[in-house]
Amino acid sequence: MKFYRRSKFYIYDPRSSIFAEVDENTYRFVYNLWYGGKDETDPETLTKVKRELEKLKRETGFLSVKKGEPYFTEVAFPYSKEEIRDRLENNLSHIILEVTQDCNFRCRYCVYSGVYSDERTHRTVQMSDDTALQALLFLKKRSATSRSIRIGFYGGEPLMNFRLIKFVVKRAEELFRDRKIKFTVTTNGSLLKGEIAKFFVRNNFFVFVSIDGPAEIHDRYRVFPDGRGTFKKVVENLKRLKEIHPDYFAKKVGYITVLAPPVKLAEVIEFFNTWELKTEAPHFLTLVDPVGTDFYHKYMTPEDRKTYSTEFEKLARRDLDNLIYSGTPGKFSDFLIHFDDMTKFHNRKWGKIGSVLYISGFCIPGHDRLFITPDGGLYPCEKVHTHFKIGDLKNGFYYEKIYKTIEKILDIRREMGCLNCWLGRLCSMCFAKVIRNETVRKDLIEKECRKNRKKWEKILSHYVELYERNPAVFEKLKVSKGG
Amino acid sequence: MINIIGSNNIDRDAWVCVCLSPGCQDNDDYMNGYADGMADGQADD
Repeated sequence: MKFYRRSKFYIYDPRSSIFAEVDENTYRFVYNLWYGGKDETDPETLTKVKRELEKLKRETGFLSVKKGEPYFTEVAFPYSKEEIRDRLENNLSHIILEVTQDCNFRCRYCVYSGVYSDERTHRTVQMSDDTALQALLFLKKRSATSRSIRIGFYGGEPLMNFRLIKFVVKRAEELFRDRKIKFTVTTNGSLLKGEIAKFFVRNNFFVFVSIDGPAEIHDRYRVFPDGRGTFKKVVENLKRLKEIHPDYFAKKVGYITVLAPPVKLAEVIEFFNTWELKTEAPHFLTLVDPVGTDFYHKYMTPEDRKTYSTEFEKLARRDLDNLIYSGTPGKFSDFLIHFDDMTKFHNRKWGKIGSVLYISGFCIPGHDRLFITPDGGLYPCEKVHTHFKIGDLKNGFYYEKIYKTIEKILDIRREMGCLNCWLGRLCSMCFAKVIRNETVRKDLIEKECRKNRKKWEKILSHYVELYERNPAVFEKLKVSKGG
Repeated sequence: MINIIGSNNIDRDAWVCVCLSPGCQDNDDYMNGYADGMADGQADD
């Protein structure tokens, strides 16, 4: 049970996932029931409170678990083995092709730069036409119930194998004539010009360009093999693309910003908020992964962490205030105030939703995205590349391995006491965070658990503040299926 | 008075991973330190 007080009183009930504003008498009654305090409310009021709680319990299941009992009876994956198989055999829609492992940059924090002990390093390996075609046929065969198709190109630097991208687009259009195809590419932007740029515009590609902030921040780590900074080159290309195709540029060019230690958060956000090349497309901020490398320890001193925390809190406060006043989230609200999670929380299922705790955050591996390597290996996404192989183009999905991995995670979650955790239904983690070298790591699951606790404390306090200061914003927290 | 907050309109698909971005956030690591964060967290438990 979770109790909150701001200017009003709130209770979150884990079993029913009901989050309710309650009057002070109800709050005190439930609080005392839970923590064994003495209730001094007058008997008449107490009877009213109990009657209302009983009624709500009958109707919605609110507070149906007694103190001392676990909130949930079982931990389970939200999909059965049959459903997993059915989705993977009939409902694929999104593949990401690693068209090359080669790159013309040598970003110092890159997972393939050699600073991560468990990752590959840059190689000249390219995906062949045959493998790419096999990947398309694999998707075709397993997407009977998918309405649209999404094909992403990833690397290395995917534009170093532009010839293959053209080949795939042509063949995909032949193979999926009856369906809408969306193409996406994640690039460092250095080759985004001339024929390549024209091709992307013509085929309405979504282009995600990696850019880390102003030149002095970007060029710290995003460098050519000879050590020169890459900012100038990338920005030249972006400017040219914007000049020639302003509408396309505004809608279809998004950015990925890696926040690398020591993180200059305020400077980076200020730069992008006022940047002449900002667009309407998403802009993702991501932090350098600290697991499996000493890069983080080397460049993030305790002083840097303090600065980062201070800047983060300040920016998050400003972002939440902006949301409350304007009713509209900012470009970086998902990063700063977990707006995406807040929206999901607002739209969550509540009521008599059963006693089983379905773990959240874990995808059906390969279903939402399927990452395919040049050797035909299948992975849930580019983030678990090399860590969790779930199949290959020749033999299909390794179902037994997928099931066993899920079982292992469920075992650990049971062992950790998730059945008794108030955060059970909200706690979210993913394969990318808990698997290393084909092994489910309990220490990483525990770490995610601790992070979730801190994260959700914050989300709920923002949510309550939003509710009290501008409830009209809640109308904007509606999401369609799929978040 | 009990007023339930939330619109109750998404199904389980929305609670599984729908991440479109490369941006899983690790703020806690960056605020508290990766190694130090582990120790902090244990104290929380």
